[in-house]
Amino acid sequence: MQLNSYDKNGITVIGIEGRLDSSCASMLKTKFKELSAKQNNFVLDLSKMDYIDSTGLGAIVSCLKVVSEASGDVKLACLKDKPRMIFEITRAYKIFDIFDDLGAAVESFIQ
Amino acid sequence: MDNISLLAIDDERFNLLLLEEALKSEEISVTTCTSADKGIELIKANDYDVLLLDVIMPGIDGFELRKIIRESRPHLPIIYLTAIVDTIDNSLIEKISQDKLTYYMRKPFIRDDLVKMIRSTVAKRRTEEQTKELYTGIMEDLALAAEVQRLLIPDWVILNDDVIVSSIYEPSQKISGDMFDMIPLASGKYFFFIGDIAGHGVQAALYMSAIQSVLKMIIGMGNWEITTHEVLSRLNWVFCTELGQEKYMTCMVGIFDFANNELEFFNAGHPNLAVFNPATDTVELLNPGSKGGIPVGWDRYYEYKEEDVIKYKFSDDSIFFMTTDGTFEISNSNDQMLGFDKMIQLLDSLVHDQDSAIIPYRVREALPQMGYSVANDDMTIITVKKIVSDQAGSGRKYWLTHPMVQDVNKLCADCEKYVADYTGNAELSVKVELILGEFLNNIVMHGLENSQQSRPGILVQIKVSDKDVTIKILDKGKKWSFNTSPVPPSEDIWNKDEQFATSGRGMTIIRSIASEISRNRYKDLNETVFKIRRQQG
Repeated sequence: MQLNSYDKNGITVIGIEGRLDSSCASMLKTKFKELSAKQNNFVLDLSKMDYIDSTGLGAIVSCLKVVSEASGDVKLACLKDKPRMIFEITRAYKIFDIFDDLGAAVESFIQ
Repeated sequence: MDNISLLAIDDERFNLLLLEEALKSEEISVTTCTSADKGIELIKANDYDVLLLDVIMPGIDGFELRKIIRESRPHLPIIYLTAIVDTIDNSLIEKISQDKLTYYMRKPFIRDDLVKMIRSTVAKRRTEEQTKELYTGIMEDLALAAEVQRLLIPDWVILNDDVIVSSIYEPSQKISGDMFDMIPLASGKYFFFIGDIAGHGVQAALYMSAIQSVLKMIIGMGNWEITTHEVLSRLNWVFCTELGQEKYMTCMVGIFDFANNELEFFNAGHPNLAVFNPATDTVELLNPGSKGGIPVGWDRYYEYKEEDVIKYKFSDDSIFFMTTDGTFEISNSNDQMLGFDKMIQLLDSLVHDQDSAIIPYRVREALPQMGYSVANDDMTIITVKKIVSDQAGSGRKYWLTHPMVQDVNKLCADCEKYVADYTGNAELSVKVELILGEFLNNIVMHGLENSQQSRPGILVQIKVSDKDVTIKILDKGKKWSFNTSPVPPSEDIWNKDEQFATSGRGMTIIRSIASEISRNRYKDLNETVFKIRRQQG
């Protein structure tokens, strides 16, 4: 898995590329911890994420938990077909706002 | 004898002086003290070989002191020096003999007798400790030898494009005199060997390791047309000339040709090969006329002849069974053995409902349930079944993975592709991948403790029918129970109280996807089956 992060209109975007699973979920948590020291609102760009398992889900949930305590949020954008199915199967959409478009996800914070 | 370190505790300085003088030239270094408290301190801080104690001391008697000493030094020999003549009811002797490592000597003592007692007490204690260390060392070496031996025999399951072989291998002591192997030759042909050295334990295991090396050397030697009787003749010669004639070995060797569904084998005094024949729907013995030769090692000049080779044409669904005699020689509390015929009956009853891979484990699990739990010898049970090619067409396929995360992830992706290609249903295939990923990673991370990196393998089977997809997982992980009830669609796995839980969702996700889950354990093999209903229409 590879991670990259950048600022878009004052919101931090984290791009996840590859598989987010038990072998690398801790990387996301570590990266997020560093970034959340300065920012509370994030969009995860999942346009290149191929697969997610329960450990990967747990890592994203932990990100949400961290910023929620500071009244921030983590939104998800551009799920590919397979992870989208996984989110639907696991009903993870119940706690995450999911957008088809990265711009719309960022916009939703500003509005 | 090495120097002896001794502590003497007595409230009378006179007695201590006598002891120091009596023992000073005897390579015994003597430490003395006059109080029990000081004595206890000294004992905790030093490693004495023996203690001399007075029975009567102010404040605490010698037996109470012994009790305190035993808390930190359970194996320290104690010699009571006492002037007391025993009471009428012998209570003094009784109290002394309550502790195995307590002795006594009358005061005033005879110097030579005291020295002799000190020396013999310490010598006995040191011998016991050395024996215990030696025993512990031997047991550790045996455990290591067993690990090494395990690496020399195939993993519990072998799977490739031609064959699936499942085995249970159980030494009667830590290591075994049984051996089996399956050596690829060329183009769908495999040489198999199953053998049993007479006796068991370390010597038998060493013989077996040597045989394995010799066999591989014989098979690998040059470009000769390998035949079963010729291999046996060569093996017999080496066994008799190089390994000595104290032992012998029953064995069976054969060549499976899975391309042409042909088997040829040679029995050298070994239990018969049995086969499930789909045409008759029964398990049959393949050598009812008892063709074959004598065990290896009896006669160096014995020639194993081609006329004793047995040839058999089998079908795609045939299942072969091999065993060593320890399996059917297991006995019950009345000393009655299971017997070969009853073992065949057991196989016959299992073969119709079970995958070949699980049969050895179901048989082994059944034996104590039937009352047969006295194992007198090493036990080995093997099944061999052809893998039918073009598994995609049959809707049924096996995979074998090493218990490592990267291999597991690759297997899950392969299974997902298989189901997607077979059914054209992307959501169904993702569900398969999700269940497998969650479950297999659980096994790898929590279920397999202290295992070698590449073993034991985890076997996965997928069967696709019109109604459902069945995923069966066989693993050698630890015994682990979990709730197998499916989570109904209405149940919220993101309920408010646990919304932010960052772990523990894996099994809940599995239970929310699978319409049925079952879990069994046969001997040390876990069988877990998940069914995913296919949506109709």
